[in-house]
Amino acid sequence: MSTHVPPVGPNQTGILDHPELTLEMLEATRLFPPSSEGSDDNLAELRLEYGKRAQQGDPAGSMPKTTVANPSDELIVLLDHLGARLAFERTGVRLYDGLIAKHEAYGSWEGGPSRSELEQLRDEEYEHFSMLRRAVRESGGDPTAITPAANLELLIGSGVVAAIADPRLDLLQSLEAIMVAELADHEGWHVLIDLAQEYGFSEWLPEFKRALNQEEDHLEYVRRWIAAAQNRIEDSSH
Amino acid sequence: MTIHLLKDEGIPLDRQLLSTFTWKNLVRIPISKLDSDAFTKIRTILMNGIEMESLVFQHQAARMNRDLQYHLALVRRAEKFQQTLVNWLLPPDMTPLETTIAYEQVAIEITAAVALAEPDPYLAQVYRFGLLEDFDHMYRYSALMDRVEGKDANTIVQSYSDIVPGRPTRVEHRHPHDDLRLGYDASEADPRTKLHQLIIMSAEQQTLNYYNNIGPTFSDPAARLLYAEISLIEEQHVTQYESIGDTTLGWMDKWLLHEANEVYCYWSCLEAETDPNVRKVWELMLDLELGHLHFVRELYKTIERRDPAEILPETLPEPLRFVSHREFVRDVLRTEVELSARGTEFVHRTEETEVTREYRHQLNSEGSPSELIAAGYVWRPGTELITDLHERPTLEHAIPTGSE
Repeated sequence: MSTHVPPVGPNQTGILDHPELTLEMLEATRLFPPSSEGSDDNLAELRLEYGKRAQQGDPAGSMPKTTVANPSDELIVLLDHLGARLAFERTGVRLYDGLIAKHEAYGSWEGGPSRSELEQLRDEEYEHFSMLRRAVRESGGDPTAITPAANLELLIGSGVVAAIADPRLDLLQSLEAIMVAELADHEGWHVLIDLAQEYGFSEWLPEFKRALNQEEDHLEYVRRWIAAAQNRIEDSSH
Repeated sequence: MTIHLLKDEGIPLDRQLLSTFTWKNLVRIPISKLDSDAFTKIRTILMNGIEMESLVFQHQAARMNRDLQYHLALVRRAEKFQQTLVNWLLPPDMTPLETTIAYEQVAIEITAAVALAEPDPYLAQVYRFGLLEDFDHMYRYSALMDRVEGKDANTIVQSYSDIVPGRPTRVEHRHPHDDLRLGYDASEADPRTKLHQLIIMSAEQQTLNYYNNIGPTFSDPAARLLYAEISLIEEQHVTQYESIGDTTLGWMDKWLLHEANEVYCYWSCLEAETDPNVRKVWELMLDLELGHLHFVRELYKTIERRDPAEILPETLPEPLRFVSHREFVRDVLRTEVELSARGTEFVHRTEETEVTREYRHQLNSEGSPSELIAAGYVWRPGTELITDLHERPTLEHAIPTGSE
């Protein structure tokens, strides 16, 4: 049995607590039908309309200036994705700061993370961040800017930040949150390496691949820690 | 473009309500978080604050004046359309904390602009006093953003404003006894004085309401504490800035001033705006406000049986300046950071009242969130996680050099 059994308590969100009231609600939907015809397909039409309007205007965001005169499209794409990894690793340092705080507050479990292990992962995120800053700068980009890909990843990752910051969520729950970040980061490194190889930017490949190896370890550690908390054997085949 | 406050008619109110807006022209494609100039964001946020105050004022007026309720409801409906259109220009990928940084930059740069343009020396001091406090807020929120989210507030600030401590938030807490100031006398005050008071009061009120609403949406206790602390200061600021108004003015007088102020602000925005799409918004808004002003001028003549020229100047003063006030802010920081207030006067902090000290001591007795969160915080481009900068960073370390 898992060592982390969530308590069964006064959760109010389902209908089992109020079966009679729920039947009354269903009856109401029969008595008072929708005021307009159609379905949730209407949302798709509205989104299509606004999507077209958005395309007629300026983009949601553009790339910052480079120090390279007449940058190629390949360089622009690479800098965009470098920016994304940079933003991710930078936030990742803060996420692991948050996990260390959760470790202090909640403690760990058999097979779970030690403080020094979490610190190691944080330090490796920091190394990636520092390396990526150099990579962006030396490739002609501005490491202080948010690229469109970085902005997207920050938007996606905002839920992870909120979850780890919530003091009501324990270390296991926070690790489940960081798992989402590690999975996305892992994929992001693969994309960056593929792009660098495809576009002939080989100078940084050894460092990118080293970072990917470390990120694979991160993913493995987090999977293992979560599995240990749930008393299950982690299946590394997926 | 010259505005004639006593003559221009703008778009008639009837046309505003019956043939101007649809849902889809109210809800437009927002500005870009990455690409829009900081001052476009500043203008958008400022004008939302101005519209929110027009709604608040016109609701309060309705609660106290039965015979004005229908007229107020008509104008207020149009103001609400405007508030929606303007505020919905802000992009959804601008997080609440990023928006907060932008709100504080509004407070800094607009209060600085007002403080420099204000002809009344006492009121200019009031604005400088508040300026250093909002300046500190932006520093504290920047530390929060850096340390909790790993993000650089300068991506919003765009290097127009410094990110350094102002008057520390921890010492800004004052008992209400020391938050009220002396009001201007409308019969003698320069038109700029009347406009400035409305502008800054509106901006601070908007900020107060914003923090009141979003404070609890943060999960991090550091953020919850900081918003709790700074929102209290914003309540103090609204108290301060509404106290410098003339309370003897009647409701119609104030309504006329509100509409004139909205004209002034939209005109200032139009004069300064660089984004072509947003310029079109300011053009429309200016025409709408001139329509409101025309409506209220006529109402004033009918109901008050007075000449609007008793309240309004013929033309507007120089527009608000939407520029960086870095040097001015630094000058004020060097010379006035130790100021506090004793009743309506500004004094050195050592001369504060006992009741303010007692109030502050109580609040800070379990620690100061603003001090804790920003302890040792030094802004660095790309966040404080950068460690390869020397003691005095140069641009070569901060950003790449070379030809673009």
